[in-house]
Amino acid sequence: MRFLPFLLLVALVACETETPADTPSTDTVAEPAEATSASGEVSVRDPFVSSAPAGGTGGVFFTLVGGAEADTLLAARYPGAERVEVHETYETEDGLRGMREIADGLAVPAGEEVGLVPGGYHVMLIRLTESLAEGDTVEVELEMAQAGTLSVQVPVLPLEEVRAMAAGADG
Amino acid sequence: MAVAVAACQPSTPEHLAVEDDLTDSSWTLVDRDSASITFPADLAGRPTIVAAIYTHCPDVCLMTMANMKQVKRALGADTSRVGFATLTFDPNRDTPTVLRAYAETWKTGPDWRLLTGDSTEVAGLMDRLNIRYEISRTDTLASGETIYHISHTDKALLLDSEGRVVETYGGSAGIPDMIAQDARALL
Repeated sequence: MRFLPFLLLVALVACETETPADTPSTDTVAEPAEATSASGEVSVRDPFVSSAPAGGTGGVFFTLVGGAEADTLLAARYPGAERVEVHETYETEDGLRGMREIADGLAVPAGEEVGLVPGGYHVMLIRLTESLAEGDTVEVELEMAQAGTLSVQVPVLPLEEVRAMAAGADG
Repeated sequence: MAVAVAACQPSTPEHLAVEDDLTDSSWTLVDRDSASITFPADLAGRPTIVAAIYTHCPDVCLMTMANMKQVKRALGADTSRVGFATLTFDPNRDTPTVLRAYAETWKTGPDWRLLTGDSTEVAGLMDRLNIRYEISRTDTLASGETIYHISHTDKALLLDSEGRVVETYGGSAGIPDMIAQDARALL
């Protein structure tokens, strides 16, 4: 079986730990997108969501940029989905890949970046009540333990650009 | 003369030797238009890139679809000479109607087959392709709808023009240019 080296590395690390690998930042891709921070501490960079039909499932991806103090992503909200969860992707020892909710939140160490990219962490929009149409922008709220609520404007990208955003993390 | 012509034909790379001849069996599936498809016979006639996903997976399967689309782009002028097929291992939710909406969202085009079918038939095909899948979590939404996640093998395959598996790749992690190069080698 032949793999993209970077993603294989991610998968291998996930396999060893039964938890997702540290996902890379997306600092080499895309233009910075609009994001606001309630406290000026942790912030969000390069958000995007995949287009998806109504009734389907969407994945929101971005980079959390840590502030002066450590913070934790506790939850996310999006009114166009019946449920929103913060997920991690895992790989079992026998090679199955899946995803599960992060029960205790996603830690963002001070001054460090935590990437939410395909194959790692993501915000999952479950049972979309409206389609996510390419070219649209949707507002997703992130609940941080320290910084409060971050409102993030998230562009809906076509498939080709989703891949470019994800691949950009490995140059 | 025949020997000389044969000698001039490019040989198939060694790594694309037949791994599994699927033509000793057949599976009845349906496409996004609910038309019956016999796998692999109806895919024969040109090399085909096959990947397995479920549409409620916005992460690993998202990348698998993105990779396949990149393969299509990398094939350039040879695109129409190579078939594309996405198989779902979640036939209960991925009905032809759902697959059609998925195809329209991802702009796969009419020549890209999205296939589902009876759950027993799909299970048999997945077993033959060594693609495992199992429900990892079930939950109920406020609306009363039951949802579930699936843990699964992350895999894509290259079939030759006769419907035989000649190579396998990571579905979400396969290298599109390499897959396109392999497919071209079969033309």
